[in-house]
Order: sequence, then C-alpha cells, then structure tokens
Amino acid sequence: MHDDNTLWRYLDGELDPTQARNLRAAIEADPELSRRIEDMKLMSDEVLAGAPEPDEAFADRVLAASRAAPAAEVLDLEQARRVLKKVAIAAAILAAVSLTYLGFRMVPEFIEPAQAGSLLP
Amino acid sequence: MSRPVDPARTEAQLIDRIRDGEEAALAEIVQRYQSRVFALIYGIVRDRHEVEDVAQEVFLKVYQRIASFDGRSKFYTWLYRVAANAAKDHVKKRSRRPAVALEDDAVLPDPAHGPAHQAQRKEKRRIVRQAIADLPANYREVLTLRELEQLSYKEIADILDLSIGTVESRLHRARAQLKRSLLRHA
Repeated sequence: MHDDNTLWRYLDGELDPTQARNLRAAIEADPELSRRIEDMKLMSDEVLAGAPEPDEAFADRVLAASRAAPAAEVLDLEQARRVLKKVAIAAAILAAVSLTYLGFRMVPEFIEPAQAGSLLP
Repeated sequence: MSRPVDPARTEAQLIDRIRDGEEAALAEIVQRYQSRVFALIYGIVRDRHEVEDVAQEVFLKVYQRIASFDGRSKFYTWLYRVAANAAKDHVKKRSRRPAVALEDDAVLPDPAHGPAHQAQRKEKRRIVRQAIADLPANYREVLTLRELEQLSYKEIADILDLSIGTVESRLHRARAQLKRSLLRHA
C-alpha cells in the first residue's frame, strides 16, 4: 500500500531514482494505483488550467505605467527597511555604551558612603 | 515605443540596464516572464479578469525596486516572490468575496476514452477547480509554484522564505483538502 505522500513525492520528482523506478513499476502493474495517480495528476493540472495569456500590448502598458510612476519618486521599502535596521542597531549600541558609562559613574556614589562609614571612629 | 533589440543579452545585463532606466531592458524582462507571472498570479487569485492588473503592478514594482535586488539570489526567485506577495495582497484586499471557479469550457475531448469517462473527468475537473478556489491563499501559493515550472520544494522554500518542511506541509494539506473534495462528490 502506497500512501499519498509517497505518491505525491513521486509526482513532484522528490523521490530518489531507485524509489521512483520501483514505484513506476508498481503503478504500471496496478490499475488501482494507476487510477489514483491519474486523479492526482488531474488535481495538479487544474492548478494552472485556464490561466490567461498576456496580449501583445501588455509590455507597452507596463512601460507606460512605469513612465507615470518614475522609480526616483517611489519609496524603496526594502532599502528603507535595511537603513532602519542599521539605525536601530546603532541606537542600541549607543544606549548600551551610555548605560555602561552611567553605571560606572553611579557606582562610586553607593560605595563611597560605606567606605566613608568604615573610616568613622 | 522602445522595444527589446538584443535577445542575446543576459539577464544580469538587462537588470543593470533597468537600473539605468533603459525601457527596452524592462520590456525584454516583461516579455521573458509575463506568461509565467500571469500564471502564477492566476493560480493564487483565481480570477482571469483580475490577473492583468496585478501583473502590471508586479512589473512596476520590479522597475521601482530593482535597486533592492542584490543579485545574491536568482532573479526569478525575487520576481516570483514579488508576484506571489502582490497576488496574496490582492486576495486580501478583495476581502471576503469568494474566488470564483471558472467553468471548464476549454477541455478538448479525449478520443482514447468513451463519453462516460470524459463526462466523469470533466465533473472531477470542475470539483477540483472549485476546491482549489476554496483553499487558503497560502496553500494555493505553494501549489501554484509547484506546478508553474515543476519547482523543487527547496526552490519554493527559497522563493517564499519558508522552510522546506513548511512547504511540504502546506502542499500536503492542500492536496489532502482537494482529495477530500473529490471523495465527497464521488
């Protein structure tokens, strides 16, 4: 008995050559298995059946649209995201350095009174 | 109107020329990929009348965002990602209006089988087509990429920035749902 997952992996070309060869032989020998494969192929064929084709003027319409929306005026989101990421990293580093600095500045204020206390008679 | 003049130009050369604003290069890229982009969008959107508008939006984005294509991945990977995202955004904007499965009016008769077999197959195709339209857009996306150019699970994972396991899982669930639809009507 072949499970659907194995049959789909066969149809998707994801089985290794030996497994694929064995399964091909089994399909040829078994009408029920062959019918299952036929139904699976039908499912695959229907995914793109009926897809329209572009007409000859499609590229011209894209060019016309590109003239109406020049690249320079459009925010490049990918680029903006990369810049924002760098700014965020820089801000995080700056914050970490500042906190460390402030921490060192504040520590003596807590230590000194204690040290001073131990010096009292 | 500027038209592509040198079909021998490599894709990398065309992309460089698009960056420089050369219209002929953009036209060449559109012509090389338009059929596949139409098919990819149709597979997700499932309405023939909406495909061209989304495809135009896709190529416009390619033109506008070509600077963000760094060449580390293959161009088609980047293009298909842009197209799949545009198609899914379109489905979201269409909100709750269900996708319409078209009538199967373009099926050629198969002389190797009798009329009963052909009628049964036609009915199965109608059921499957409706079941595909009823799938979540994420499932239609992986199914479409799989059928578009027989892309491997790895290639689909690269395009969608998913793990191979997620691709397999979505394919498996989508197909199981299609099978259940067929069995319900058997």
